[in-house]
Amino acid sequence: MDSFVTVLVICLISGLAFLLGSLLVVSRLPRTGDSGGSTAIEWNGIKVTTTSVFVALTIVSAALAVALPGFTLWLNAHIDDAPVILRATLPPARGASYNVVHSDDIANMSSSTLTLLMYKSRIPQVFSVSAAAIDPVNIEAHYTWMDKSIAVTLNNDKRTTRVLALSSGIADIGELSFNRAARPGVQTISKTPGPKPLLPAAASRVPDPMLPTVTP
Amino acid sequence: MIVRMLALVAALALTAQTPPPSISGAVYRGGAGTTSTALVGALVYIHPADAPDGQWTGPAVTDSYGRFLFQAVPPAKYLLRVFFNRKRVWEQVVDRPGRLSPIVLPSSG
Repeated sequence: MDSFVTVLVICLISGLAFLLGSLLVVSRLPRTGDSGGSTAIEWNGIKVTTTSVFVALTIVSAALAVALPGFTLWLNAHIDDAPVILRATLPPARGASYNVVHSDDIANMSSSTLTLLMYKSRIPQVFSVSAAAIDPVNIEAHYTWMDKSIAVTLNNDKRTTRVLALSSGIADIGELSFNRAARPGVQTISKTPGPKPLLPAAASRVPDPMLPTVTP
Repeated sequence: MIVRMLALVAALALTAQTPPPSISGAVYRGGAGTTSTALVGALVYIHPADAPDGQWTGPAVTDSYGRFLFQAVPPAKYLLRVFFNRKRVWEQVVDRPGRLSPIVLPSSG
C-alpha cells in the first residue's frame, strides 16, 4: 500500500506539472485578437480561443486524474510485494526428515509437507530437496507477475515445467517423486583433491552463466 | 514365432524402462589429511561443450550431502561449472551423461 500512496503522490505532482506547463506554453503563444470576449491564440496555423484551451486542459487533467490512480489501483491489485508459498507433499522418508537447500545458501529441514517461501522476483529461485537415501530433487520456481502463477521445473528438465496457479498466495506442486539414491549420502572418497581436469581452449572461453540473486 | 514375439516384447519393455540420461554427482570440500565435507548450496551448471553459443542449463543446487542432479540431458559432451558464494570453484568436461566421480575441492578453494 505504501507504494500505492507513492504512485498517487507522483500522479498528483505530475498532473499539476502538466497543467502548469500547459498554461505556461499557452500564455507564450502569440495572440491574434479577441473573439467574442476571449483571446484567440494561434499555434501552427490553428486558431483557438483561450477558453477552449482551458476547457480542453481541464478535461485532459480530469481524465488523467481518474485514469492514473485507477491504473495504479489495478496494478496494485495485480502486483504486491508479499512473498508466496510453494507447497509440496513429500513421501515419507524412512528414519530421516528431508533437507531443503535454497540457492541463497539457506538450508533448512522439513517433514512431510514442504513449504518453500519464495519472493516475487523475476529471477527464478532454486531449491534442492533431499534425504540421505534418495536422489535430490531440484525445484526451479519462477514467479510470473501478471498471471499470478509460478512456473515450476524439476531437475532442470524443461519437459516437466508446470504452471501453477496461486491461490491465497499458495501454489501447490503436489506430491514429489524421488528416486532411491544409488549410493548413500556418506561417500567414501579420496581425501586428496584431484587435479582440475584439463579443458579444451574453446570450453574455457565460454562465459559464465548469470548467477541467480534473491531480490525480495 | 512365439519366442521371437517374446523377445520383441522384452526388448520393448527394456527400452521403455531405460531412464532418461542424467548427469549427477557430488561436490565435497577437503584436502589431504582432512575429512571431506559436503559442499551445500553450490550452484552447478552445464553447457554443451561443442556449442560455444549454446545455453547454460541450471543451476542445480547441491543438497545437504553435496549431491546434484540434471535430468533428461541429451547425450553430448558438456562443460560443467560449479559456483559457490558467487565464485567459480570448479570446471570440467563431462564426456557423456552419467554419474560423475566425486568432485573434491581443496579446503582453501
